Amino acid sequence: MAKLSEAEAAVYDRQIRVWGVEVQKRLQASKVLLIGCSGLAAEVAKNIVLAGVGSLSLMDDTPCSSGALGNFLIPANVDGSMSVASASVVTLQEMNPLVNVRACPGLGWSSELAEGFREYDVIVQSGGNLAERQQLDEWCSENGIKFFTASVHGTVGYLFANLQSHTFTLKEDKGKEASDMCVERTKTYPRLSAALCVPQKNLPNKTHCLYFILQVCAEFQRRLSRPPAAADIEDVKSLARRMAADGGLSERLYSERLLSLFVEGAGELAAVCAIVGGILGNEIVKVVSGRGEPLRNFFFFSLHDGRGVAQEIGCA
Amino acid sequence: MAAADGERWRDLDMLLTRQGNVVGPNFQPGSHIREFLADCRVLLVGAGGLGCEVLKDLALSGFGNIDVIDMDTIDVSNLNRQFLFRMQDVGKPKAEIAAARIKEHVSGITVTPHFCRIEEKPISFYEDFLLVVLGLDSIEARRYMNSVMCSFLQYDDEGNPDPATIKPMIDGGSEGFKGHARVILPGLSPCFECTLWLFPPQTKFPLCTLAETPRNPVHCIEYAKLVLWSQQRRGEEFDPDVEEHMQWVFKKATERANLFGIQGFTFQFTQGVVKNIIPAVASTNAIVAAVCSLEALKMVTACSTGMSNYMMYMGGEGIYTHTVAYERDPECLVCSPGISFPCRRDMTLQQVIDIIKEDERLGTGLEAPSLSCGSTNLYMRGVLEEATRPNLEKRMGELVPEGSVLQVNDKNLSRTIRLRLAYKDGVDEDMQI
Repeated sequence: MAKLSEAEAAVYDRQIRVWGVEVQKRLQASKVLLIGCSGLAAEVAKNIVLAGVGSLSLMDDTPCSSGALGNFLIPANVDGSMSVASASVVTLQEMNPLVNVRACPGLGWSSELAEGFREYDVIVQSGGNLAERQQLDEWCSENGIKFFTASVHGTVGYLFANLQSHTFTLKEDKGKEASDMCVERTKTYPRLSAALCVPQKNLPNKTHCLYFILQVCAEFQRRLSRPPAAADIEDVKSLARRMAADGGLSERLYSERLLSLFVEGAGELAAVCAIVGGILGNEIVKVVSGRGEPLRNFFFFSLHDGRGVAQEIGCA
Repeated sequence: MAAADGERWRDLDMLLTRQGNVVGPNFQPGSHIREFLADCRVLLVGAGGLGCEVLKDLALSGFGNIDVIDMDTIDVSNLNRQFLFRMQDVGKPKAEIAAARIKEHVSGITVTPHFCRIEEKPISFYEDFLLVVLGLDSIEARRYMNSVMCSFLQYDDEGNPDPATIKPMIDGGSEGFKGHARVILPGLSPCFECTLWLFPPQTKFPLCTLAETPRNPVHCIEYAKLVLWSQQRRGEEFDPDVEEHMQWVFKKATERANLFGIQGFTFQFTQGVVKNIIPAVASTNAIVAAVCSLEALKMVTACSTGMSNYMMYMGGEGIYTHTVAYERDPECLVCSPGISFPCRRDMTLQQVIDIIKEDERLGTGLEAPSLSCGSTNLYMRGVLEEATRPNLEKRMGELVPEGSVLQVNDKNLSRTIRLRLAYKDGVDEDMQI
């Protein structure tokens, strides 16, 4: 690969000291697509644009005039008819002219758009309902594209990774005197639909409450062919109670309070977006560079207990 | 406008207008909280890697009146993470550009920049803020801010902190994939000085290693910078920002390394050692800053339980955080109600001053200390010197009662040393503090 240009070496100096030139070069060769351009997506986009990915595409036709955006990339005096993706792209490009940033028309994955998606190394879906995310996850798995999905609902957030079969190198610390050895590992990841199907009685005690909430939402969607909205909250709660009782779910894993917060989905608290977006930013760097062990396979964060945890659920 | 406003703050309203299970003790849900947030004054110290991220998070979390202080100008190497800055801003003051740019993205907020050193502001400047968030990159700067904020702390006669004088700080730090966030409530939780032991001592290489037996690149670089420079470029002050100086040190360090068979370092590495460069990425700053901002939000609104009191984040291998409740140092020089000071009643004030000045721990930096006790001036430098001079010959027992807290001030100190008198009346004891 070509050497880093002088401009790249100057701007990226501080991070090259963290992960080295090789990782930087691989980053610069990568192509990422973000579907959904909310507050969380803005954070991820900022982090990977600053890190210097090769190209970033944003897809979200929602017009800026549609109100509460929580996306700090969009200037206060933006033209309301612009899409949030286009408005975000302007700021991102200014933040790092070395990256190729562009907006793609569309609101999400569809079979018509599928061909165009094949060029990406990583696809991140942060908008849309669980069924749509599961569909895209299936397609990515079949086409060897690394898939992440994440959302922030008010004060809670989650991140899911499906890297299919992922090979990476790890530094094994051999102590001070010997130089660190690099070892290669491969890990496999379940698809989202499979990862959400772990029977409740098989869940470890420390599984974050948000996991069960995702199961309830997935089940609601399966039965009614649409995601739960704020107005459905009572129905969602009864469904949850039934599922918990039938599945023998431990009380520790069930929080009706969190369920309400999640379903009523009031916006995205900025700082929660920054935490989940920061974690995801790091994961994308690890995944495209093949260096370092990536998240396997869920990350949950909740303001109320201040807990941010990585958990393996549904992995073989 | 009101409808759009409500829509804009939907996420915050959810948090602030309802009861919850883990809210703070005085939490009263309602729209008045968001109004309070919009007006209360908060200070952000540092507009760099953490500062830019904190500024964004605070602004998006409803804080409407933020001051930012930073003495630095923008460098091209900042651009990989200090996202409020652009290439054309290089050379301009960070505080001013950060303030201007955040206002372009978040409407209706007041952000006041201060392009100066933190020491240049009078202490009273810091007293006006409800809360201070620190995004600093050195221990010295943190110690300074800590001593300033703790200097406002007053204790009552029972040794309890007066809540009105507690000025909270939230401190964040990051390097590579690691970081920390901590909450400091002077008088209640450990201050920065209480936990100074957390930091490993600064590495100082023995001169003989540098001179005779270097083993690694850093030894060679330090040798070139410290020894060779003063030998071969006498009179010239070494400036790491001057390209030629850095290249010279690199060349000499490389020559030396080759002599000793030490390999594998670059100009970039050399720069890192000489300038003490902290490796940094955007995502770690984003995470640490977000934790700090959440603590700020919780502290001001009482909407949830605050952190107690120090969180570490490690993202290098996996995702790991750990929160520890560190304890205060009861003898902390900066935030404790007073260090126990045994003394004889028949000692004169002059003798007490001499003991303090000679004491290893207390005497550092003392030049011409003034002593007071509550509102009583015992011996004051400056305009009251002549009037208080006679007290120097008086005995302590005549001047102040047992258990009094003496306050020692000196123009070299940014904070007051508090000494709690413990009278001992034995004749032959050596007074040791």
